[in-house]
Amino acid sequence: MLKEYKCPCCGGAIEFDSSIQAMKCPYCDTEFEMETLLAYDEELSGDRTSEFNWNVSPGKEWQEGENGSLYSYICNSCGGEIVGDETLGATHCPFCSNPVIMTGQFAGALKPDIVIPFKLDKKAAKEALKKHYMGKRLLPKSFKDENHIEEVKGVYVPFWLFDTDANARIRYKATRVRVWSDSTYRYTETSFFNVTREGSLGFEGVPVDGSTKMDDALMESVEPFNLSEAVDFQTAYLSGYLAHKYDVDENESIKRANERIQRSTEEAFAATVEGYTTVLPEASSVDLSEGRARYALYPLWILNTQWGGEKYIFAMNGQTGKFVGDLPMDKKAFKKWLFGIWGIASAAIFAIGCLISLIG
Amino acid sequence: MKNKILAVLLALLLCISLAVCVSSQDVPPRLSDGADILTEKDELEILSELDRISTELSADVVVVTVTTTEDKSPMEFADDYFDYNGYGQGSDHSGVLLLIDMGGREMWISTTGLCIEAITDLDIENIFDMMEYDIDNENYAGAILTYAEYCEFYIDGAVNGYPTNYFFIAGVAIVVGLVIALIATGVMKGQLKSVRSRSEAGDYLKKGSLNLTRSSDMYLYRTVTREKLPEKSSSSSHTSSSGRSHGGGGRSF
Repeated sequence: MLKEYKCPCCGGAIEFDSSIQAMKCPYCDTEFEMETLLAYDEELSGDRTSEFNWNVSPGKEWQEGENGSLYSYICNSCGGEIVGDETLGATHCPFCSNPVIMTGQFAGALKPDIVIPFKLDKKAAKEALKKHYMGKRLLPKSFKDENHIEEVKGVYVPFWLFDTDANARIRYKATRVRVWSDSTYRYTETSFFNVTREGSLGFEGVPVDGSTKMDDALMESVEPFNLSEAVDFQTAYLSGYLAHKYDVDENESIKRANERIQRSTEEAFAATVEGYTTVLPEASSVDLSEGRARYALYPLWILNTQWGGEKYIFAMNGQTGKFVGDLPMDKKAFKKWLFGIWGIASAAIFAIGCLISLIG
Repeated sequence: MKNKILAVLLALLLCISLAVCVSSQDVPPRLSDGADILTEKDELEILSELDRISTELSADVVVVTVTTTEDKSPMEFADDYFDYNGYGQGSDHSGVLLLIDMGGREMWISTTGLCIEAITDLDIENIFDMMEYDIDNENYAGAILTYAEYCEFYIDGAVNGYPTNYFFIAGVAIVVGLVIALIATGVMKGQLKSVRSRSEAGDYLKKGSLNLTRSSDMYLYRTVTREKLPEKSSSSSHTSSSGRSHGGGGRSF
């Protein structure tokens, strides 16, 4: 009786002859135990592809009269639509700094499930910006000095939050290397292992930016938010702040959540594979189940400025105070530091080298 | 009785004077061209070079050419020639001797005392390599001068340390300095960037929710590779007929 098996070393086909006890791959000459080949074949047949099944319907319908005090504002420059209550008055777009006009009463869209209220005020945001400039040697001095923050706005940014259980089966090829030597040779023995891990992992509140007006990378940079401080949404929380309406729906946002959940699952599973020299995933399937999505508003302070014809946008997590925003580089200062350090370091190493060789 | 004492004293005196005579007696010249492969002019030049090096480094650098090593091997002949002619300086008779046997067409370098460690087996191979071109072209004077030059380099290096190569240190310093500068300015550049997308969701992992239902680690197969270790430069030594230790190595030509 003949059956073909895949060689664990080179992937070539080994014909299995039951009359021989130890197997040898005809292509790469690696020898195997019969049991090993059988068990390996079984592991291979367990490989699947990932499946992401979500059944989500976040948000609620507005109750009658609930959104009566909310107004929509549209920015004529970038098209951004923001939401605020009547206390907002005339304002500037938090994304592009151009004036926005009130278009009428807020209508449509979903009501958020939860909101994380602002914990830090405008003053804290301005302080954080000053701190953000500190200790950065390549920041152009004129950027610091001439910098006028045009507007500091507290914005509630729409996020989709995804909760799910991830069921994963990941198969790795791992090696353990042993090295020893006698008087003439150094020997390297590499033992190969098939490592399989199956199990589940829970995720709660993986956020995905629901607004195209907000740069996704900027939003992911101010993470994490502490979800335990979130409260049920009330219109009153918006008083004095802007809110942005989502323009990416939850189904579009799921893709990004899947990517991040899959990556974290793989990382968590890889951490359980211990005691090897190298570990390489060969097959990975991550299935998501019990998926749930929520519509949340997260608090952000947005600061805009212009310098050298470029726009710079900063964001501060209104809950934790984490402050982010890329800064320009002073090319002259960069060259000065590069050549300065190069010269000094080289001279110091040369001096030490000469000293050592003189003493030695 | 007195005569007897006088005779003994005289004998003693003779012995001492002889001994003094032997010890202070000049050893044969450091170059002996028994095979007559050098011109008179070359001989003078080589001899003065050998004498200069030998005096400066307190180790005799000797060359002897012969047409036959009689019934001895080149190693035995070279060792004995060095020992019984009284070459070598200091208590350990430091020195190095090059034997060129034109009859057997063989060369041998014999090291003694400090030179055993100063000129390792690999160094001897290197000296032969450097001499090879001149030997093949029968430029024996050139080959011998090469030998003298390298002996000076190795013995001087072992005694006073090898000369500092400032160009090498400067080259290393410039390269390492540039790496340091690039790392340092890279860190400064990194400070300006704080907006990065996140590809993982580790912050939202429910603590303690990882539940492994199956965990298998299966041994598949092993491979063993071997590679030759680099040879260390060492000095093998042997004892000659006089009872002294010598290092050395030879080559046919």
